[in-house]
Amino acid sequence: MSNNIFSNTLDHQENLRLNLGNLTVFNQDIFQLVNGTTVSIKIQNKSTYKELNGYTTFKIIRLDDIQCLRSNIIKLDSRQKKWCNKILRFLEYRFSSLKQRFKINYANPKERTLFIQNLISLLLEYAYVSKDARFLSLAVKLQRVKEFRNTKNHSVQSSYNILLSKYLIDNF
Amino acid sequence: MRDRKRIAVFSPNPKSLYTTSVCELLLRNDIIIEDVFVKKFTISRFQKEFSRDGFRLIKKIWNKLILQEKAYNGFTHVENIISFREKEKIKLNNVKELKKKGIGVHFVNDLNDISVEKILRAKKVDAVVFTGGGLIRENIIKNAGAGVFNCHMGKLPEYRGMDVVEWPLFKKDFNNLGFTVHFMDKGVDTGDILEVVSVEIHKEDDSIKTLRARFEPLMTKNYVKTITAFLNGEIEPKKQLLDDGKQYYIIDEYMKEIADQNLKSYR
Repeated sequence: MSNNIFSNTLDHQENLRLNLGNLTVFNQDIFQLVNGTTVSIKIQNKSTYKELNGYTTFKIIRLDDIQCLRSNIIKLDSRQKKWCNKILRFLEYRFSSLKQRFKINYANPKERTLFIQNLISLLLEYAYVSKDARFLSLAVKLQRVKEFRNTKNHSVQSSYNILLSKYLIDNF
Repeated sequence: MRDRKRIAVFSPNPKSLYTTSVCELLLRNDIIIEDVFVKKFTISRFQKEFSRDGFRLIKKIWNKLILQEKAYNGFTHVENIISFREKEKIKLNNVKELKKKGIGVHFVNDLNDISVEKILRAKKVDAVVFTGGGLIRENIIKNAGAGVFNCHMGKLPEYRGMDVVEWPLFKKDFNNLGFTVHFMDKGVDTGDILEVVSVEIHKEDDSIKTLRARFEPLMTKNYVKTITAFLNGEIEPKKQLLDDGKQYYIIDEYMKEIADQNLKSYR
């Protein structure tokens, strides 16, 4: 079934509840879409992340760049929106070779998974603010690739992504 | 007396129902087909298309090359390309048969090959009619007379790219289903527009597959009509602005199911 990634939403809600401290999130309103109740979560400090330069190539993008975009998601400027659109285009065009390409960004598997899961969070959050379903579709397609997550247990970021994906699909 | 216009045709496979229908209808409209270029089925083509389309390519090959007419058995409740061909008495089953009419039929590894470019340059065709076979590059477009026609299964400029029947349905944008005859340029579906045709949802459209089956004869008919009208000087192309539309990609399979449900609820 194609909706099998959404089959254990209760488990993901539980994972979120138990591991909130490990979740990287920048926006209370978006977080509430998946959590429902008002829970005090640690909103990441926006000023921690450096200013983005012009987009050059995907292979030099780091987690910091993704978090910088996520931290400004509600009010992205035109340069930052260009980043998001270039990321979409690159990932869609190169989808079949992403397993290899992500290794260029991060050779270490744990760092790579963290990078990918936060990248998925960016795509989902941008889909929400821009109302552009293409970003949602890409995020869901990425989540179907088991190499892009911890295979044994979903990380709290992955659970957040699954729940946010489900919310967006149901409410688009 | 008007000079008869001369074109070349690009084809993804020699038995393509779409290509053979378009060719026969163009000939009936007194258009001269100088050459047909057919993309060879090679391992490298398979690898390239597989990396883009994944397992969808296997389904496509199964339907188009193995099942052929039988692929439409589930769509007899709508006018599909098979019933359309019967109604119009289209007899051409393989572009190779066009050799008997003195039309050049060339099997090439890539429609952008220098061998294709050389023939187009020598023949000085009025235009090229694309019926499938991948992206077309600048070297071919430059030697294609007025340009390379394409019929895109989505309304331009809004819906460029792939799955452009599924995407408007997912977004419940039911009034934006249709297809577009346009010139190809180096972008994806960004070339000058000749004709945009809206397609309304009918009660018989019980699935996206049925809707797509119904699109095919409509596209074939209108494609030939628009090409003929342009070559007769009856249509002026209109430029697209890049910002007027978006490029869409393969839709997630679950979102595609939602699109299908939206269609069923709407009709």
